[in-house]
Amino acid sequence: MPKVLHLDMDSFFATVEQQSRPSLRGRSVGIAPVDSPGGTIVAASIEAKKFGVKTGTKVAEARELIPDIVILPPTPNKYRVVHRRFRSIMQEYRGICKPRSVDEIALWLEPSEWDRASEIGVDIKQRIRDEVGEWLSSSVGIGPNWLLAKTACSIRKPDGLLEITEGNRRDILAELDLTDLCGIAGRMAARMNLAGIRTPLDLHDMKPWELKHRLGIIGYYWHLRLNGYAIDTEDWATKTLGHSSVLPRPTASPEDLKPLLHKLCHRIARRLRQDSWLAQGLVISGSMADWGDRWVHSVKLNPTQRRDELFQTAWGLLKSRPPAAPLRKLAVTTYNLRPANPKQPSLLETDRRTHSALIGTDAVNDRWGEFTVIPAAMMGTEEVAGDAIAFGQDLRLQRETLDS
Amino acid sequence: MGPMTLADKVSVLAKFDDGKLVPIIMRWRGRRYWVQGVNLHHVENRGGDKIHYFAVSTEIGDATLSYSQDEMYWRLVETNFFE
Ligand SMILES: [Mg+2]
Repeated sequence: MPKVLHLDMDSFFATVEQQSRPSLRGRSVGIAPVDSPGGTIVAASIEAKKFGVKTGTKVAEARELIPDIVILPPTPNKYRVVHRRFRSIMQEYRGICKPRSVDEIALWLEPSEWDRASEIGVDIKQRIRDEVGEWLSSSVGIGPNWLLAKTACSIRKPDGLLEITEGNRRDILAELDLTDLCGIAGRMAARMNLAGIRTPLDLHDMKPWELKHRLGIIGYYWHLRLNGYAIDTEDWATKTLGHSSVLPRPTASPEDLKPLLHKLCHRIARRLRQDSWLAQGLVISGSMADWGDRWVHSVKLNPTQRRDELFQTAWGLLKSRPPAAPLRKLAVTTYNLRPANPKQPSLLETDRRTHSALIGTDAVNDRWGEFTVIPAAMMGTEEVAGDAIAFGQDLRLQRETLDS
Repeated sequence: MGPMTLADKVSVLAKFDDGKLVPIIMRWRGRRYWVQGVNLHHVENRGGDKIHYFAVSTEIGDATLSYSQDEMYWRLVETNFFE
């Protein structure tokens, strides 16, 4: 499953002020641009929140709730500095990092990191304390797409870490209100209620056609998001397309793996062109013959759907980081897919010619079966990948489930 | 009580450590204060000048020192230990 990590600094402005002034740590602090009774609190510290002071509370009201609350003006430069520091920590991890606001950053992890997403979450939280400031607490949510990661993050605040998995997804959604989901506000929730949808779990469980009937396409999109699909543009970073194959004889030798690598890249390139995607990253992985550790390496790509480019990259990775033990299975996965725009042909004429030649090859293969026309380098590999299976998130699934 | 703001010029003994400016001792109103740690350092541009802000802990409380790169002046801009 793809992994997106969403980090949200707890009570950010107030926590940064407590970081710079240890005497305020553990005390109720409110940040208000104007310290007059009618002024509005834009951020409250974790301590103040326990007494009911929150964003939007009037200063006078906050003083009534907490007589000794400290009201401070915001210092945006300080917040920007802290933001830059925790962002640069997050940028050290393998993936695509995008700030969502001054105190929130999302990280679409590369496939090689998916197995250790929660480890990475723990690591980032600790490094922010060690390297930016010991008082800076943050919460991390992990999920198969950004929405679920963000939802997970909001549940365990402050200082939380929660991963939404296939195993706990329904239990977690059952505890939430519709408006707890980022993107569903009062009006949309009311519309959903009218359609008989009361909780996120209803959106999750209801049949897609039923949702589409009751709420239109929006209902269907919510269903997909809550079921972990990558349907929002930002989640394309975690879209993958790959093929794997079991080796007839386990081997660790790059030369022995080369023909199979060719074949896998060929199949992926074909699917990329069929579905009109460009891949921006590539992973090679394998299971060791002794069922021990997995062997995984990933690298960024210039956007491509070409077999030769995929192969050159995969081959370079394999040669420079060969597996330590014989593999019984080899997989190539492309990720961080983005739609190819066929209306915008490459400026380089040679590029365009190669592209049309490849489309031609695909047409023949479609008609006569896989590998009727194959690149010369793949000659003699027909049996090797006979049991190749497609894996990863099936990009066509979305269209299919909608049509059915 | 919250922090008090001021703009007193102060003498500061500082070191340059691995590309970083770190205040060590501050003299304010005839008393010497040891800087025990920098809790946050940030820089603001003011015209062409760069002002460095150091939120520090001293033995009697928190303070914020500012250093103007152009004027080469240190100021105590905030304390929580006003008498
Ligand atoms: Mg926050």
